[in-house]
Amino acid sequence: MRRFFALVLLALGLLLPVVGRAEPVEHRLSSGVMALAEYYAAAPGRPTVLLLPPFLQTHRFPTVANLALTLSESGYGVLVPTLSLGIDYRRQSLACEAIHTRTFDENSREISDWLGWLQLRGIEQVVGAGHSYGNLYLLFVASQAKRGSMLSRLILTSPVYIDTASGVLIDDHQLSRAQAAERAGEADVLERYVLSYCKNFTATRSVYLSLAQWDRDHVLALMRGVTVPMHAVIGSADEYQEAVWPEILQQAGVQLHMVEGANHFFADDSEFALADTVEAILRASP
Amino acid sequence: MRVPRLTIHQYGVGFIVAVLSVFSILGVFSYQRIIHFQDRIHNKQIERGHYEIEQHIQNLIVEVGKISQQIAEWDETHQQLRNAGFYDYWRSTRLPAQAIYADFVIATELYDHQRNALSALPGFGLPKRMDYRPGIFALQMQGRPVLVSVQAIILSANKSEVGGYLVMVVDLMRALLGKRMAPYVDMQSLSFSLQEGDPVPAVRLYERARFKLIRDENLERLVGAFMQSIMTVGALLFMTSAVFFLFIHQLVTRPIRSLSNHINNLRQGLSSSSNILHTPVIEIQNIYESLNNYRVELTQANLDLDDKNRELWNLAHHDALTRVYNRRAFDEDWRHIRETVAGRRIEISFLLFDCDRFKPLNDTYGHAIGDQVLVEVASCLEGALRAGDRLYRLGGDEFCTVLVECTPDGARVIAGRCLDKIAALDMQAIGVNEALGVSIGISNTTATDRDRLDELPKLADIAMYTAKRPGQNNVALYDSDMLEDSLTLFSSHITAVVFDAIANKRSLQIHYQAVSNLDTGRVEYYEALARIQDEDTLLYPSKILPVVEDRRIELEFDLAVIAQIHRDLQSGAIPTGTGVAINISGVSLVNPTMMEHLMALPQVAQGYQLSVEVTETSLITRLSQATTHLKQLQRAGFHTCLDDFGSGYSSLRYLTDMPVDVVKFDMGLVQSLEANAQSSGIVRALANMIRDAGYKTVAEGVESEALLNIVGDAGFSHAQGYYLHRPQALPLASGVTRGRLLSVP
Repeated sequence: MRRFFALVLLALGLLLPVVGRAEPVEHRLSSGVMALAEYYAAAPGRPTVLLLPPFLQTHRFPTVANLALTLSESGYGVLVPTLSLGIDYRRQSLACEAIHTRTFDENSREISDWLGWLQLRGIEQVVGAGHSYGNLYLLFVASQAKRGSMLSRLILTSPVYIDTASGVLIDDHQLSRAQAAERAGEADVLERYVLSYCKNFTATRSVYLSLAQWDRDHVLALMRGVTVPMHAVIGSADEYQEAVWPEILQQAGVQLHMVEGANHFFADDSEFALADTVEAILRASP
Repeated sequence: MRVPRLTIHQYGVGFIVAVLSVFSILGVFSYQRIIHFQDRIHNKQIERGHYEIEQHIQNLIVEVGKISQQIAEWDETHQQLRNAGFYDYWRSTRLPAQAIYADFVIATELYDHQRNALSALPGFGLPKRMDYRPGIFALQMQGRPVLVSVQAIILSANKSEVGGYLVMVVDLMRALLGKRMAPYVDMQSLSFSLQEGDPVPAVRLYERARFKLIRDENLERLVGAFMQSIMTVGALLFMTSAVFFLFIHQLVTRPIRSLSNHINNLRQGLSSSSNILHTPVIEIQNIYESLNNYRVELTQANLDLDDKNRELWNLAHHDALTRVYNRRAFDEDWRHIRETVAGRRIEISFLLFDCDRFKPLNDTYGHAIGDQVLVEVASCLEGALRAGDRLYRLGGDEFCTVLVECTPDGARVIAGRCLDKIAALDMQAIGVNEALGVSIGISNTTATDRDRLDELPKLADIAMYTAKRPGQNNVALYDSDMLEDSLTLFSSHITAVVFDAIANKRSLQIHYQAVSNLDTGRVEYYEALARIQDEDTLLYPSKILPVVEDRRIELEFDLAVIAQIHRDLQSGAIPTGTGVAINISGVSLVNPTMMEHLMALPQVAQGYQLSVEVTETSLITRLSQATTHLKQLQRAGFHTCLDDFGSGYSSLRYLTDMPVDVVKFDMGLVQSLEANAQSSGIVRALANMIRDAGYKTVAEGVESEALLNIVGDAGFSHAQGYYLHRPQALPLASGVTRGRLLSVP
């Protein structure tokens, strides 16, 4: 009996340092830029989650950071990378007014780089998770053949798209003019655009167009290209997208998980509901 | 400490100078203290200014460092190091938009890790390649002082990878002037001593700071107010001192000067009525009034004193009895006259008056009558003189006058007038039944003969004695023939002999003359008679006594005689069983010393009967004292004898009042027994009466047997005279007298 307790304590002693302890990661991406990430090693038998922060944010963004911590405490492995946006060791969220020079594809390649980093660590299957615009990169990578195969499923929290119809999240004139200039092959100069919640999004035209293309149809098209199960966790109080969006997602084959009362960022107590929901999804998965 | 003697003005000026000096010293001291205080505050302000500048610079360094660090750590900065495609936009737009970015940053430039500028054209003259080491320093760039911050941009978490460098240029003046207004430093005056291309570490920048302090207006106002206060107080003090000086001048100095002038005028006898003092100072006014009152009282006192002096002078120079001038007045006038007339051809006559037989008259009628006689005589003489001539009473009944510019004849006329006045005097009116005579001695000389002038009184005296002689009509003008007669009286030789006899007693001799008892025929005692041996000449009392009386040495002479008798008694040369009679002057009798010597004699005169003989004239003065002493002598065993009875104005009152045992009749009275029957009868009756009254009677001057017989018949108990025994010195011969044998025990 005494020997049994000693073994239990030894096991706990061995596990505790691993479970819930964040490991800062510096990784030189394929673009040559040094990127940062937070990595929680998974407990044995537990899957690892690649958790992508929202648009322009870092891995320290509270919603994703807290979710990662909660999952890691439950024994799940979590890698939360910060998209470099072309900045070495980026530690700060990038302002809308900052110079944005990275296109959607260039950012998506960084996701692939991080999947490669996990693969180098012997992790072949990863649960892809994202928040808000991070889901777009996840869907894009999942739709790709090269690294998408490592994603066993996708958990999309507060998934979004660029609402071109409302005219609020994008300036149709800017978009049309950019598209015309693109077609005309004009020099790619730095300009200010309205993009999502950024009213002075400063970027080159190509960057702008790479981001502005992701309207609802393009997103749904991406989803259709994804072969692994997709779960969507949406707060009932999330007013960021149109009200029918959850339903559209369901129609697109996404398993919908509504969190009652939560807003777009699952603020306050909703973050626990988010974590519980995500954990429930993870537990329910094979 | 000796206080210098100065005027009130000098003291006032000295006081003012002292006060102003003390105030000036205090003012200068206070001014220096204020200046010192101001300097200390100024130095403190400089220190604080430096501290302030240092703090500002330090804060700026911190602020610049913080800005540099934050920009260096800014991801968008890192982004430029990775991709500088839009560097100019970032530098011009993104960087200034940062909240931390300050407006005093005039240039920011990024350099890659190889220190090459990201910009092709670095701003504000920054180099394309930067060689500065990380840090903050100051230097002069493009003519202005700047702070340059060089910040290494660290990319990796372990800070090992320097991604590039941030160079930020700060406009130093704008940065500092934009700070909170410095309380001590005039920031507009701030400058830095920096050189182009000569960086100075920012931490030492304050050492290069040049600035001015903000004027401390409060301190300047305080110093100004203090200086103004000192000047005001000084001016007030000076004005107060001046007013005080004027006040002292008006209220003290001026009145005191007036008072002093007033006193000087009074002292010089000037009238000061024009200088009447009116001062508001009560004390000085009181002094002035007191002085005036004192002056009035003093003037009155002087008048009184003058009166007293005159009265005193009159008393001192007038005879209290006769109211004519006295001896003192004579001495002064005579000296003055001699000094005045000496050497001039002026005739001076000197008249000396002496009353004849005044002493007996005085003895007979008493002092009151005598005095009245003298008053009348003086009045007569004064009335007979010329107007302006003064009559002097020299003493007793002796008067004189000095007649200036008066010839001998004139003097005789005046003397005659005097005698006429005296002769006309009604003596009956003053109770005297006999006429009064006056003898006048006149001396005269011309004042050119100084020696004779000095001797005029003496010469008049000689003349006066001549005038008393019969046949002179009581007036005599001195001539040289009179001098011989006077030599005796005034011989200085005799005087010297007498004095020597008294002093040395060697020349003094006592001759003894027997007094015999007529009943027994025996010598009963000897009368001691003084003689002085002057070489070969023997001086008798007739020459000795005038000198003694003139020199007033009766007591000394009598004592010398008694001393010699004392020795004679001790020698045993005087026959025992007899006695010795000693002549004593009136002056000596009343003298206690004489009494002591007399009372000592019985001790050495065992077996002798001692007697004392006094003349009735000697008893006139101090009769009471003389009577007392005679009684004491009687009690001591002495017999007392009234000598020369009948020679003067003898009064039987003396016999009844005086304690005498023996009455010795004067020679003249005794010799009158041989005259007519009337005179003889009176003497006989007188002798019998006195003898019957219990007195022994001695007849003097018995020089013949006939007279001896008459004396015996007349009832005298004793007799004395040349017939019986001539005076002789010791040893005495056995008692055989001429004409009648008298036995000697």
